[in-house]
Amino acid sequence: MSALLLILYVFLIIVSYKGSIFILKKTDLL
Amino acid sequence: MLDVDLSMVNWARAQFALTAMYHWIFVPLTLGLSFLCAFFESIYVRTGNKEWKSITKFWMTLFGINFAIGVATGIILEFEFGTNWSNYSWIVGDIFGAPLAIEGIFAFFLEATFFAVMFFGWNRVSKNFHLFSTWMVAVGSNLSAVWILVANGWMQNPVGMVFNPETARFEMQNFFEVIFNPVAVSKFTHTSSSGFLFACLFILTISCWYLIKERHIEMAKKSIVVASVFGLLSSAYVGFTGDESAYEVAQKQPMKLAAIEGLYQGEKNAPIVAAGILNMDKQPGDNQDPFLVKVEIPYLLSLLANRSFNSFVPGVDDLVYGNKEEGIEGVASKITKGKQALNDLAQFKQARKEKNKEKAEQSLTRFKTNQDYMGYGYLNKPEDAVPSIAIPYYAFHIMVALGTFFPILFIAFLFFSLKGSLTQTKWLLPIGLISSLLGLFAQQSGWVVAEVGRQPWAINGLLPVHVATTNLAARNVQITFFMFLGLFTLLLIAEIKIMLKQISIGPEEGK
Repeated sequence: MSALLLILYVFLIIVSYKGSIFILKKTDLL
Repeated sequence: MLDVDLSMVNWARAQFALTAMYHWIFVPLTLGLSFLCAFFESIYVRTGNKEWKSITKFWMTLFGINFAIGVATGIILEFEFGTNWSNYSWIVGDIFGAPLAIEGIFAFFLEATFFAVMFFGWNRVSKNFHLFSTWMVAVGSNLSAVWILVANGWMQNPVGMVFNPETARFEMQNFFEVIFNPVAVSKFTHTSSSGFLFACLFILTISCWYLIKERHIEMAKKSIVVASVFGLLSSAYVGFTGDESAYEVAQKQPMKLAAIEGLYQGEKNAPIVAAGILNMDKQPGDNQDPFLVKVEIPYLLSLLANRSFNSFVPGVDDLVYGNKEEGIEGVASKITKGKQALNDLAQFKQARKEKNKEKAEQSLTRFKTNQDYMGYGYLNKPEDAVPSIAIPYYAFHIMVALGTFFPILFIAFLFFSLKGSLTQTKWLLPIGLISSLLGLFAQQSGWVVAEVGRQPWAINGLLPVHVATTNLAARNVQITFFMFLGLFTLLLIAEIKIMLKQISIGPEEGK
């Protein structure tokens, strides 16, 4: 379980960055 | 029984709580804002658009102001272990000191080194190296949190050590067991991601202020999108890790779980209290109803605590007075064994002094049969093992209620951003404006649950707080308490004033 939490932690940061770019493009802010 | 000035214990606790709560105004912002600055700068390097550079530098300036004061309050916290908690430092310093030292010489040096490049390296180092430095500040800040939370996780669930009866100290036996303590892992991931969430709310607050004032509208809209995406995903992760933290609490600190749920009589198929008002007259062992009014969700507490609907969740009374049916030993029997262990330890020391080898070995053998209960030997009566019920109960429910509200807020901001009508959504902007205050309230509530719920223990089950303090007169701590209160309040006012000045300047002029 600890390993899963730490893997998801790294995923959270990567997906947040990628997701931000995706939404910025959708809203014509990028 | 130890002759301890209880008012000294309470003042030492109050001083530590004061310092920790001030420290925790600044730290979660550092944990989250560092990654947000890395996101903003990554977009700048990727697009080459100067506006993103200006956005990055604006948030970086606020990050820098906040970082400085976070460090100042953190250093005072570490000194308090020596001044107010010297018995604690003596008994567990070999274990507790290691992660604190690693935090200082490894993680903090990493972030401090790259912090200098991040702040003063614009146009002095390459774009890519500057971006790398910004990411390293974010990684270093959160690595600092890893080591601090490894130390705190060990207080909640002491693992990886042995007690040395010759020195009366705990000594580390397995470093990796301490680092990968499941309580520490769930605590770090929950705490760090809640810092991400708080930083996203901070960005919402300032961006909403700009939108209300109709200034820097493009910058505010862009910042809101990035903060809402990161905030929404962090909210989901905070919920997931919060569930894991609660599971670990149920397994390792059942008394804390009983306190945060106001549960006195354990039961199978235990419901969770969604909301309720406690009966403040209720005492362990009496027949009064713990609640004046409550709303329950059936079966949910058993599921959260043990991953099984029909499992038994012990209440305060089960843990204090024992429950034979469920195999739970009462505190009275633990106190008897604990006092026996302390007595045998004293005899062992005396025998060694007298160089009586045979007597020393006999005492040591007897000590080892009861040594796990040693901490209970310092308690006077079974009810001493019960923490405050009301404080963790209300703090926990406030934290959960706010934690449920934040993702809804982020979804609303994303929805109106995608719709292109955020600036016209006049009802939403004031909510965003006050959101970081709500975030701060949730942050502080979380730590109150963790630390008040751990009482009466400094080290869960091993060392009560009244044995952990320095043998000082209470007035010594009172003087520094009010000194720190004044100093921290001045620092907070200074931070807010400098930040407000920077916010009024805004990003364009700030570049």
